[in-house]
Amino acid sequence: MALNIAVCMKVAPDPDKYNQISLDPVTKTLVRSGIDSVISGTDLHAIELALQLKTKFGGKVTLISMGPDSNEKQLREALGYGCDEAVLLSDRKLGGADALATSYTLSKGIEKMGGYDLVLLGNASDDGSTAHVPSQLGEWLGLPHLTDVIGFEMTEEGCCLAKKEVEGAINTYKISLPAVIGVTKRLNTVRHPNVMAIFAAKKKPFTKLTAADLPDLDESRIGLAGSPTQAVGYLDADFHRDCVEITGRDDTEKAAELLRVVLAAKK
Amino acid sequence: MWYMNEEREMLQSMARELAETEVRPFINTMEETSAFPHEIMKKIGEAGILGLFLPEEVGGCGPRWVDLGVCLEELGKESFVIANAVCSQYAGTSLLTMLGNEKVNKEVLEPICRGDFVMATSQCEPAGQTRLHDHKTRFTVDPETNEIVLNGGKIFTTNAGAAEYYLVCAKTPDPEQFGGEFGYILVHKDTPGLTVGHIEHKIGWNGSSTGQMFYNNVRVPMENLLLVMDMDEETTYYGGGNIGALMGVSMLGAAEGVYEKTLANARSRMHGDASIFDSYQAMRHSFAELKMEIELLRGLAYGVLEGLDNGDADVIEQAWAVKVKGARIFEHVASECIVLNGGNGVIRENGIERYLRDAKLCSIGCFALPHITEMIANHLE
Repeated sequence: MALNIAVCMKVAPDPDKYNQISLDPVTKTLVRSGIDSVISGTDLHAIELALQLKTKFGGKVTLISMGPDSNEKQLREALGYGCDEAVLLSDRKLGGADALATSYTLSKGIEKMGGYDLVLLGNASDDGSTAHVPSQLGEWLGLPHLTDVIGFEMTEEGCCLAKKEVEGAINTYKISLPAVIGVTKRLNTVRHPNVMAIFAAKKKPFTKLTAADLPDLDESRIGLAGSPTQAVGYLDADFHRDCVEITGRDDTEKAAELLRVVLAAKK
Repeated sequence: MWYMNEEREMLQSMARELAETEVRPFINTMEETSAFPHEIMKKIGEAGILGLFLPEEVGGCGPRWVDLGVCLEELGKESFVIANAVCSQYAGTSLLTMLGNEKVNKEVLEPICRGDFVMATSQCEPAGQTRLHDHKTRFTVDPETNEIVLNGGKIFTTNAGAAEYYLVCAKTPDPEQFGGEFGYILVHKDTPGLTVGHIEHKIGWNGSSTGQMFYNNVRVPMENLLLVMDMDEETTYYGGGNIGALMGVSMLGAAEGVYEKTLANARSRMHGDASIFDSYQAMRHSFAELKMEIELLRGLAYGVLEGLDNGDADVIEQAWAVKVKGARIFEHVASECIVLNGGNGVIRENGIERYLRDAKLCSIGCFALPHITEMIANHLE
């Protein structure tokens, strides 16, 4: 039961450099110049699952990403984990896309590549973190989809059993393939890339698709124009907190004082 | 950097991640217990780093010197000991890879490439590492069984007690008959007569197991006598330069590691409204001086590694210079960083002072600096 798996991969600013990112007061967009880009952390867990499934069942892992041409670097890096090929959807028309326009464009890329048994992706990106894309992608493709997945295995009859945490309990869903699965960082431990795979990455198939290559593309649904989410303003979060020193001769007195302070604050 | 490309950036990123996620959490254990980092060597093997100096026949893709240097530099930033553990495997396997011996390839080199176990080269004796003619360890041949019978003892064997196999240097019973004065004999750790002696408590390199080895009537098949040769200072000079370069690039990483930690501290420690880095020109100049030394070492180290990649036989002198200058620069940077960290620099738990202890041992481990200088002096034209 070889599996043809796609992993949708986002390139995001390096979380270690978040303190260097600012907001443009006019365009309300992130100013990322000089900030390194990396593979969005949760997507690495989708890659790990895909590679584990490939090892167990055979098949192929294809990376699909939407973004500028510079994303090739991170796609090659992901190929260094052992993925087989990469597809980059890159076109100026696709720029400025929100989650909905992104998921629509990814669905068209997946259609163009002929479809997959399984589409995996991080549940939420490290930067935008809307967690909208997995469900929207499933809807665009007309496939069953599940988000917040913390456990995954295949069944003998070719379905998958996916676990997600719901209000303190863990629900297990049996899902027929093809399906779209949004995974969390709790799912697995990501392997380290391998030297041999890194050297092989340069020679692995890499396809760049433009908007013109995507089948039956509705241009009103792509890029900034196709994005219903618009940032109209932003506020600085107030992280100021008052500090109250709790004193007392012993723990009992300190507990009583703490209670008094909490009740006073409640009023 | 002139030697970097997209592939090497990926290698750098991989090695950095490995160092931060696997090496960093193990450092305290190594420092406190001197535990050998078997698990980390397994991860390093799985990542393919050991394959960067091993050939395709045993699962590697090497030698790729600059690529290996990029990885050693990153590992060295967290721990010189770990980077040096990789270097020690190069030292041991470099003789074996020349043989093209299928049995050795399968039973020794392939597992080492995967990180399944490590090996040791057992050579140094009380007479001195390179005063080979005064060494006492020798072998005979049992005429009835045609077995090698090994007797003697070694000191300062790196990976003593941690290795699966020991490559033991011993005098041959008859140089004319055997075609050389010295033989290298492969001995499995469980062979009767092999005993691990005292493991030394060194100034640094905690986690690197250095100790005595005893070989009392150790019997191995004749096929374990892998290599016979005459050896003198020329053998050491021309055969050991590569390991000097690899250790040197590991020292570069370690010097950078302690420098970066110290700089981060200086930038975050406040004196009033400004960091101590911004407050004191003397401190900024100290960092600038250290940075220049680090970059000098980088230029030398990667120049040599690039030369090795290009098959340049004339880089031997420079390769040894990487070890000498690397040890001195690493020690100087580590020493200055203790001062720049203030009182925090001398506290073990803060992870700064161990760099100086490790640096000091670099003056001795794998050929003492005066010995290297003597060899270079002997080759001056």
